[in-house]
Amino acid sequence: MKYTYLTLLLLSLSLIACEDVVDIELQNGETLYVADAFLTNESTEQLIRLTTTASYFDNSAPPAIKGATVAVTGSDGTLYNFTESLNGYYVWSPAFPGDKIDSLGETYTLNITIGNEFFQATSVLNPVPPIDSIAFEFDDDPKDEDDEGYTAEFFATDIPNRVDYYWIKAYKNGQRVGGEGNFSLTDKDAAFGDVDIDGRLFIFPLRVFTINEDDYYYQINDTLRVELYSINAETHEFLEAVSVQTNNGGLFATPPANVYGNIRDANNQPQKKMLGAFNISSVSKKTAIVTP
Amino acid sequence: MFHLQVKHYICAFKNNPMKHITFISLFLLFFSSIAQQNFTISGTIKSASNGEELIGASVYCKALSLGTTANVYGFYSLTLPKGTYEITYSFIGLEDQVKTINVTSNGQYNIELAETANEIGEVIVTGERSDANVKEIEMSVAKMDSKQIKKIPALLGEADVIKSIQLLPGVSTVGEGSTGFNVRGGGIDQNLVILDEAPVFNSSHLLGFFSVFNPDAVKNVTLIKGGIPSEYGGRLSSILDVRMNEGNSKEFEGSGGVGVIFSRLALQGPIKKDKASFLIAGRRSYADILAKPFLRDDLKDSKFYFYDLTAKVNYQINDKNRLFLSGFFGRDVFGSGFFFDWGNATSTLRWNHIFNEKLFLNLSAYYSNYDYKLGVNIPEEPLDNFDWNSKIINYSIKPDFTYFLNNNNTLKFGGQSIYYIFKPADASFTTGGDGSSVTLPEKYAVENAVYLQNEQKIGSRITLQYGIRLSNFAQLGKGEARYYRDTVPGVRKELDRIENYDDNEVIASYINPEPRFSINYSLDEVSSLKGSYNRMAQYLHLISNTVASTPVDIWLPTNNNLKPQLVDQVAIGYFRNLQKNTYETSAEVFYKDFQNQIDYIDNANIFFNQDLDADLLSGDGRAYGLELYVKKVKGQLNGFVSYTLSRSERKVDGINKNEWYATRFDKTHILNVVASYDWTKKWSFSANFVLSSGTPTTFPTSRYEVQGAVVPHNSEESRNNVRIPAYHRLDVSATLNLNPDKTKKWDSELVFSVYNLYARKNPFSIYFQQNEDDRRVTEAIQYSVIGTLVPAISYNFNF
Repeated sequence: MKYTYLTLLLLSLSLIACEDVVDIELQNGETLYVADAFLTNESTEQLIRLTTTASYFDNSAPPAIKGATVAVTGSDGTLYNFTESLNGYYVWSPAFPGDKIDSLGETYTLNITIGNEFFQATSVLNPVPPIDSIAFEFDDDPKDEDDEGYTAEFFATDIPNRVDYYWIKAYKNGQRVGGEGNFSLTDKDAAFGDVDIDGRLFIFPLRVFTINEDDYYYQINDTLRVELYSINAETHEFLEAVSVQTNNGGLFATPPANVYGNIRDANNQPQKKMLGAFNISSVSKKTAIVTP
Repeated sequence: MFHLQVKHYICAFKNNPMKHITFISLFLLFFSSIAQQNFTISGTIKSASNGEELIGASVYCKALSLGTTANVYGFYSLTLPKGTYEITYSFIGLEDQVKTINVTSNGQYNIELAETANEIGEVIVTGERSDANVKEIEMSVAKMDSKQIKKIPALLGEADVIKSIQLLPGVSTVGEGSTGFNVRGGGIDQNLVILDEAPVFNSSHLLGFFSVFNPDAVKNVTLIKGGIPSEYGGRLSSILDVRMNEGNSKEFEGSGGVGVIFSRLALQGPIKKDKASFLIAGRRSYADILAKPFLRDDLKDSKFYFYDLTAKVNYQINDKNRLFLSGFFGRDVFGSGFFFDWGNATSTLRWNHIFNEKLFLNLSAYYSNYDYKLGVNIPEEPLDNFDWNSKIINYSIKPDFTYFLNNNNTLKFGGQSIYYIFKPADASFTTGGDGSSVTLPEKYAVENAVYLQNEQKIGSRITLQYGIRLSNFAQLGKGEARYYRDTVPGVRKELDRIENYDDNEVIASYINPEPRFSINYSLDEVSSLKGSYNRMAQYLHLISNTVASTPVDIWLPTNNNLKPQLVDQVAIGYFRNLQKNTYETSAEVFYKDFQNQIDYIDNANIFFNQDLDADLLSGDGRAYGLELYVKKVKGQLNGFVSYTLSRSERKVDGINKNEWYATRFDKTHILNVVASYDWTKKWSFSANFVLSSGTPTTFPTSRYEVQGAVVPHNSEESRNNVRIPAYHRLDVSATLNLNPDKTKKWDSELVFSVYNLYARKNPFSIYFQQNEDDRRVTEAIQYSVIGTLVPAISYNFNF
């Protein structure tokens, strides 16, 4: 919601404004750890990636952290071990078909040991509403006769009587709409800003703009899979901050700021050595194919 | 003692006839000194051609070397001993008038000064005495009149008040597209912009490209950066006092212009000759209509336009009373489907009352409404829409008295009371046909001040201005006060408790004495040394964490969490006029110490947040600098050069490892050169060149990946550690006068201008992002708001 008016202003200034890639020399800084720990309650492999920061213009894959111990514990004491794999990934596999990390409402704790340093983070597994339906509406571009197709819209209703935040991912023919790294997040209870509105249908911009690509309509036989993830309030703040920092620019850029997630040290104090975040989500999915 | 002396002389007289003469002369002398009286002449000085008051007109008695100047309403008062004198009334650009006045009682002498025979063009209404630069007590002040403003080539050929003052020393902006300006290291919310006494919260149209002031209606603009007199208060860094014309009270007049982006028209005239007059001036942009063919498809239906309208009427009831009623309305609308819309509306009623030849009163009362809206309204989706609006309403009453005690002392006293109503958010929306609305609670506050000041001349060299302003601010109920738990600075605070208050109960209250002091020490006829100190308090704060401020930035009142901002400023300057007042020069140094400056935690949430106070941090600030200024006021070639060397910094716990860091608008060097050349009666040319250091920004040191995003990070926790490249730009314009010999009533001219002549892509910011095609590659992007030259033609007329 916040980006739309900014983009609008930017677009209109695009008549005379310009953006150029420039050569900048940057200082190097201390190396920090990064944990990319987004888990789901599905019965599939769960991945946690541990890497370190690199200098800003280093375009190679992020350096992996090797030899760390990674485990997730449920509040009932169940231990889920993650074994080291390639490129900094630590993997948990289901022991049997149907095995998953799935106690709704439970607090899960992530414990990471690197050398003699301990790090910890917690996340509550929040529920997610089902996606009721996906509809396609035929649309054409009034200015371009050849450009026509379908606009998709999905319907889901916020879970009443609790504060919820969701993350919407859409895949058109298997490709993520908007690209990996672009996050479509809902505001509180899938409404506007911080208002106290609960249990309603997701607002219009979320139902449409998160699942359609900017310049392309859906065509007959295209497949759309919409996925809805529940995220904690802290995770919502984290992902939104990452979004702002990676899309920051133009006339209304906010000052560059560091993003810190929910990872704490052994004494449960926030610290600045490990970046990234830990979140476990419930997921609901729905797939639809465009038919005439 | 006297009794004895008389006795002595009478005895002496009796005994010595020669002493008769001495006695008589002494006697007469003595009695004449008690019998000698002072009388005061006073009145109003206006222009004979249109009846406008002449602000700063000079009244001078050469024989006694005594003089005074007319105030902002054209009123003057001069006390003289009984006698007959030649009094010269003068004003630059008009014919001097010498009146022989037999001063035997207090008298009212209203004067009208005529245009000089050779003067081309309109009356310059702010021509004060030519040595004002050196003689007046004020320092750190710049004045511009309508004629000067219109000479400066501007973006798209539209002369602009705010763009013109940005060329003065000590004034800067972060770049094109920023809605405000910075004065001596102060944020954009630290300038009190007043239009005929009423405040203007957002002085720009279209993101700062144009200001809300219509140059056709503006009479005079004064910017006070330091040594702020006691009659002003409420903001820390400057006062921009804009006065509009009152309306030609002699004959009907019209003026206007047609430009590329907008057109303007101003009509003024007498309602009753010499008694009452009116002024209506309006502007409307049509860029949206013109740009339609060039817009991208998705913006085809977008609206972006602005308008402003000023309407004034004034009535001279009698010699001692005058009434003024004025209104100003401006609006900006921007959007397509998603829209935003903001505007100011103010109306002011003023009453000038002359009690007697020494006591003058101006009583103003105003109503001001600043509101902004944003929303979503897609006609094809009637079941889903949203709009959010926010307002600040204020009512105020402001009496200002001037008492001309005697020629060496002028007292000013008065006060102001403002009642504020803040409506931070009123939102309504419909989703899937289901409607609802949310309103954040309204906030109420009252701001009061009283002041007393004296301007005193001591001997022939020293003028002092000293005074005190006492200000008070109280946040009132009905409302709530939120209290937060202290935490590690830099982290969002948690809500501790909420306390509720009833109607008009005081939630938080602050009182601040603001002493003010200035001194002018005359070194000789052409030069002087000036010094000043002022303390200012500010109770309203603009919350904005974007690089350039947006019109939807939020104004918050001081409350239980946000303390009033304070500043102490000291300034010293040397002022000299050269070659018989052809050149005015000045050199000033200043130092400012700020308290309770607001900054934000990283990733602060500004929009629609009831717990906004939890994301704010408070700290100290400091600014210091040197300002050099040379202005050539006479001759075919005229203009000015200004250079500022300065630094402005903050120190806030939780930011930059608790060390001093540069503010977002800090520019080390700023050089402005403005020149205009009146070649012939037909052609005149002007140019301006600006050069300034780049603004500070924060660069990352590292990057990391999370969920597919490549995120920048600064592991040194620095803020504003780097500067973007320098800014420089040249603008030129040529004006062709189509009625050079004044043969027709319809006066017109064509203005050809080019903004950014050598098309420099001046950097506004540098930001970092992932490459669109290969998401793993990161790059630095330099963003320029105007990256090309912008030519324009406009047509101005006057009848």
